[in-house]
Amino acid sequence: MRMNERYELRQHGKVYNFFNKLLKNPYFLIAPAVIFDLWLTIFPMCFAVYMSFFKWDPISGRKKFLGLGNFRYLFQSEDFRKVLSNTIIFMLAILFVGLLLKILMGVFLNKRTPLHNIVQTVSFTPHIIASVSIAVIFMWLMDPNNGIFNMGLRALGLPTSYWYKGRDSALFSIIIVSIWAGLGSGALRIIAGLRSIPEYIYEAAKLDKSSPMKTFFKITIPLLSPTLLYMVVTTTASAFTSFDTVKMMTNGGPDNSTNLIAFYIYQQGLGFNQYGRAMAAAVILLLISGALAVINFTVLDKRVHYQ
Amino acid sequence: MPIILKDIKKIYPGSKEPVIEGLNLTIKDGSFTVLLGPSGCGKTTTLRMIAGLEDVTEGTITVDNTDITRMEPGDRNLAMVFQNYAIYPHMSVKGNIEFGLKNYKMTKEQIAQRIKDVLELTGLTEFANRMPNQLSGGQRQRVALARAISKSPKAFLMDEPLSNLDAKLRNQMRSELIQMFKQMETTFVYVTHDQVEALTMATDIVVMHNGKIMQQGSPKEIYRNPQNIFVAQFIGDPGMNVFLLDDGNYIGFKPRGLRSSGSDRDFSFEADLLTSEFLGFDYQYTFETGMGRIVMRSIDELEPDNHYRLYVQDADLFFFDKDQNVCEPFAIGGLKGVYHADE
Ligand SMILES: Nc1ncnc2c1ncn2[C@@H]1O[C@H](COP(=O)(O)OP(=O)(O)OP(=O)(O)O)[C@@H](O)[C@H]1O
Ligand SMILES: [Mg+2]
Repeated sequence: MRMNERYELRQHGKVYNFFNKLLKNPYFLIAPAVIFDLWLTIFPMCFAVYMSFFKWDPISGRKKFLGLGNFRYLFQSEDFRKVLSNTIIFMLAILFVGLLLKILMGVFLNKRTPLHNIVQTVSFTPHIIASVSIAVIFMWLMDPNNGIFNMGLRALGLPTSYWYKGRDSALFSIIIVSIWAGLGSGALRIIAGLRSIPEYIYEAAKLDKSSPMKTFFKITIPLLSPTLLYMVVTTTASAFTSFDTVKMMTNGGPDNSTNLIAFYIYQQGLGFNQYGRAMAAAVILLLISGALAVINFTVLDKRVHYQ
Repeated sequence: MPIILKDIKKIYPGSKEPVIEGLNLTIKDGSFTVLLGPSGCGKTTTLRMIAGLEDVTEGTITVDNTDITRMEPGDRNLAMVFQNYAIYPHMSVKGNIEFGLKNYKMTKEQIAQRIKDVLELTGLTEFANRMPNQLSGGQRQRVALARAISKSPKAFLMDEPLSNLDAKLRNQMRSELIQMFKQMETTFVYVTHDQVEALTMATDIVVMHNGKIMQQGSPKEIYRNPQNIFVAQFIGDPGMNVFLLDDGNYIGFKPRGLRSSGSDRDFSFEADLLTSEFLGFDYQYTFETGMGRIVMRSIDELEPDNHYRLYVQDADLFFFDKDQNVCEPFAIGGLKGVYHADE
């Protein structure tokens, strides 16, 4: 080996040797990815943290150091507290209700008949439709006057709703749309997880006289836990960055009832030119979602069974 | 209280051809019955139908005079040991055994006692709290056995339970299984394609081929009195040499029945020695007869690259009719060629 290498070095010129060495250097090889990453994530993040201590007007370029002033403002602001509580309700709803529906749908669709295959494919389509289009479709469905939802309710003799235009029902509507949009791809992920559980485990359970219920809770769910953890982590993260649906359907209204943190950041920055304040909110978002990720990975991970 | 399979037919969903047809089999109570046959002959399918994991297309299966053909697997009171163990990966050794026992009407104390007993019996006591991924293959197999034993079933169904173990462990588990069988006085139905396993463990061997039973009998019967050419060539190390005769009948002789010297009254023929392998106790020789190759096992040392006249005594000859079934001795006419059932 060593002999060969020396032989090689003697055989070629200096330039060749220089590049030869360079191309064998791991740091050189990963440098483009690292630089890209630094530029696109680490740098903006540091910039956001830095800016959160200033009152900054990017048009005039003037900035004024406020210390923790932006943070103090946010925590004293009625609106921001409302935004936080909206975001948490939204997150819990799509986490628990959404995950539950995904599991139910995954279990229901986990068969290999042609019909199930078609339904699987169809239910995946929301994933490849732009979320903006989904919002538009639902605005039409949920229209309080002549939307299909209310038409249906009326036909059944049930009370109608203002849906995304009502103060009390708007957040609920946003939640429905978000859950619906993630349902198909989530169910597909569940199906993939279910199919990774070998059939003979279920056969052993049958021979063990295990009831379908018991098999589901004592065998399927534990063996599905790596998939579930992954979904909890990604769903939590997506709840905090949810923006398009709110922007399209309600603009945070009525009366801030659907204002979620990602939208709030956008609103403060691009809407009200309060970039420092927006960055402070972004920093808070970063801290919360970072903490949740840590909790997910430490607490839940202990209960996850990796095969 | 035997297990009786009557006129069983099995067609897998989506295919038209039955993999098993007209299968009749009686598994004697308290026997160690081995289903033996080449790959794809339907051993696993048969076993899984008995276990209830595979639907029976036609026919009935009875245990203790009870028809179990359509009964749920869990209600059949049979335990199965899978080739790949099928132990629950997320439960400890103890948990694996407990999971099934909890579904039986047993008190907590009874369960605890039963677990303790089977762990002792299988030598797993010190591993009770280990997870499966912390166990060796042999230990996992023991867990599967312990789980099966714990239910004190009417019969054990085992599908090639030793095939994933290395040779040494396999031998060890083999003798442990034989001991277990003697201790428990329960029926064992054991699937394998390894004739050594079958011959050493079985009280009854069922040789299968293409979804049909070719012969059923004790290891000695199967080995000494094969009923047809398939069994004759499948059993033995190596299997029987068979000549097809001009009249369509067959004669056969075992590699150990072949001699390099004999009298004029013996059946004899000319052959060239091709290869010789020293196997420790004896040799295995391959000869070219001009009509195909035949094999000889002998303790005699033969000169390589030589021409020989080979002899078979009358007592060592087997006669088969045109349907390849054993028959009365007949006058041997002209030889047509060497015959192999699997070709
Ligand atoms: N699920 C299935 N669907 C369709 N055909 C099957 C299925 N399982 C087995 N078969 C077919 O049935 C036949 C018998 O299979 P089986 O598994 O019973 O054989 P085996 O004797 O156990 O073989 P091996 O020694 O290789 O395990 C084979 O031809 C196989 O291709
Ligand atoms: Mg098999």
